Amino acid sequence: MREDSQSATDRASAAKPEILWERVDWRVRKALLWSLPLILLFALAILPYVASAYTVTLTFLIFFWVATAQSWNLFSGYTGYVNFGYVGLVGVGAYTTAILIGKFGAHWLPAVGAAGVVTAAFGFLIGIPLLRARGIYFAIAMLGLAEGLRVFFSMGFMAPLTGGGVGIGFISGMSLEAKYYAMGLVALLTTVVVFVVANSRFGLQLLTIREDELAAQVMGINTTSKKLMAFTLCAFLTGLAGGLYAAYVNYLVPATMFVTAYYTLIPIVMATFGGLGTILGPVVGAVLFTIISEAIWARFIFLHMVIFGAVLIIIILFMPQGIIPWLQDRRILPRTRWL
Amino acid sequence: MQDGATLVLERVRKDFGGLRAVDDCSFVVETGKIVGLIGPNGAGKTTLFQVISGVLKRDSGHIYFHGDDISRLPPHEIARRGIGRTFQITRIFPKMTVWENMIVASHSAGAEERAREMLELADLLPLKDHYAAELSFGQQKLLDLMRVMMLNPQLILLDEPAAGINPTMQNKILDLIHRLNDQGSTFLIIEHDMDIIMGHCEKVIALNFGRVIAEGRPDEVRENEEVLTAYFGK
Repeated sequence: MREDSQSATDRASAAKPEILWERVDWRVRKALLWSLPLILLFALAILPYVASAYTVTLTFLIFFWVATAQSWNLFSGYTGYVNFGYVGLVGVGAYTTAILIGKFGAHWLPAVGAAGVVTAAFGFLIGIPLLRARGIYFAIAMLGLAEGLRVFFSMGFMAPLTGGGVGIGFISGMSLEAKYYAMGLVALLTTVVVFVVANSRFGLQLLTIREDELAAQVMGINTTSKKLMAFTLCAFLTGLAGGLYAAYVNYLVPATMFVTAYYTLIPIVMATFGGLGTILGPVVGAVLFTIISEAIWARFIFLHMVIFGAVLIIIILFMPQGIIPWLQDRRILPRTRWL
Repeated sequence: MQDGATLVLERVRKDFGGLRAVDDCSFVVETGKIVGLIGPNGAGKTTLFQVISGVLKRDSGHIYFHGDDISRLPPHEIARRGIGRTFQITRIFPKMTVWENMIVASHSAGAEERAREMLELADLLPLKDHYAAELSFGQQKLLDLMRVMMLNPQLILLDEPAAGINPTMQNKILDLIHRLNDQGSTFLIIEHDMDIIMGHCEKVIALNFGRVIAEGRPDEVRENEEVLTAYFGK
């Protein structure tokens, strides 16, 4: 009996090197794991000194999409609660910064920090009633919230703060380099937070909500409070990204800020394309998505949305689970919460 | 309050619109026993489990667990207090590994040690890094049972633990139940297989139309007029 399970364990561990990544010599793997992130960080750090303003701006936008796709993933990828009102969180963050800088003359740094805190508080408060709704009902409630926010920020009585439908313009006082580094840090912070969550007990508890919320409850997990915590954390990180994004736009109008088809759907597509409930997925998704989109746009100005849509459909058909899980299913990458 | 009672139900009632699914149910589950809950389809057995575990709120009556009224508590709180349950259709977490399924259900120190011990007991340890979805149906039922044990429950509610699996696996599960019972866990089991009820339960409660129609030793309940009528008609 004892020997039996022993040999089974051996078989299980002997079967492991079938995974392509683990067939690589461990010293090479270790060297790669240390050097690749360092090389990447170094390259991104010196980018503003060596690249054109176009490249720096494009990379800034990639950072923004990494931060948003990753924040969306933190709540929705792990709990399975599809957040269709994500633009609402981006908008609250952006408007907080815009109002603090434009109306109160604040410095951008505290203004962006405040955007994180205000959006987190907002997320916490709306999360209490809305997270009671499940599945499609939660998705619809969030969609309604985003629409409601757009109208709210356009309304006449908000005009002294938001400029109403006309919008609010301001000068952030940030150089392109400052925006670039700040957004890079937010993207990095968001990814690190997801990494820590994914490898914690809290992360596993969030996954049980995605898997089977009722079973999670009878296993003693207070799913309501876990959802609220994850949603608030998502809102905080989104607030930072949205706040910095406002500094890039410099002019906020409700009609162009609260666009579901843009700030909600793009992070969802990116996170799904890369792999929901993984750490690398949203990063890979955001980078590839932005580059593909940019490449198509540069070649086919008029047809770019059509071609882009076709590319997306093909990708979804062939790897519905997303890039990272697709690689894991093919035993190229190991199945671990580290990825 | 009775001494030595793990679970006491006092006139528990649950309505679904006009349908009374559980009708003034009162019974006692004594500490350390394996108690069977039987009754024809639609008798209210599973509804009763839903009510005890807090998934559904009872409309009236009281449920006492070790003397505390738990009838208003949310499901996770009831689980934390030591009532574990399984579902008729296994509800493991499919896209999580066997190991993660176990670990996440524990809320106290020593989770890893206990998970190892439980998986060993069920011969699932070699499969610990597999997704639960990749296990066979019988292995999933075993995992479900072992996962409940991670809660350190004093009372375990099992909804048809032996249904739909081959006799070898059935024996394995029954064996586990006895072993865990020897270690001090009390069981309340819904089961349709009369051989299992007669052979493994020390006490049987029979339900029909949401009411308790008989309660006692298995052989007594089997002879009971009302139980026979409920199952076979007049």
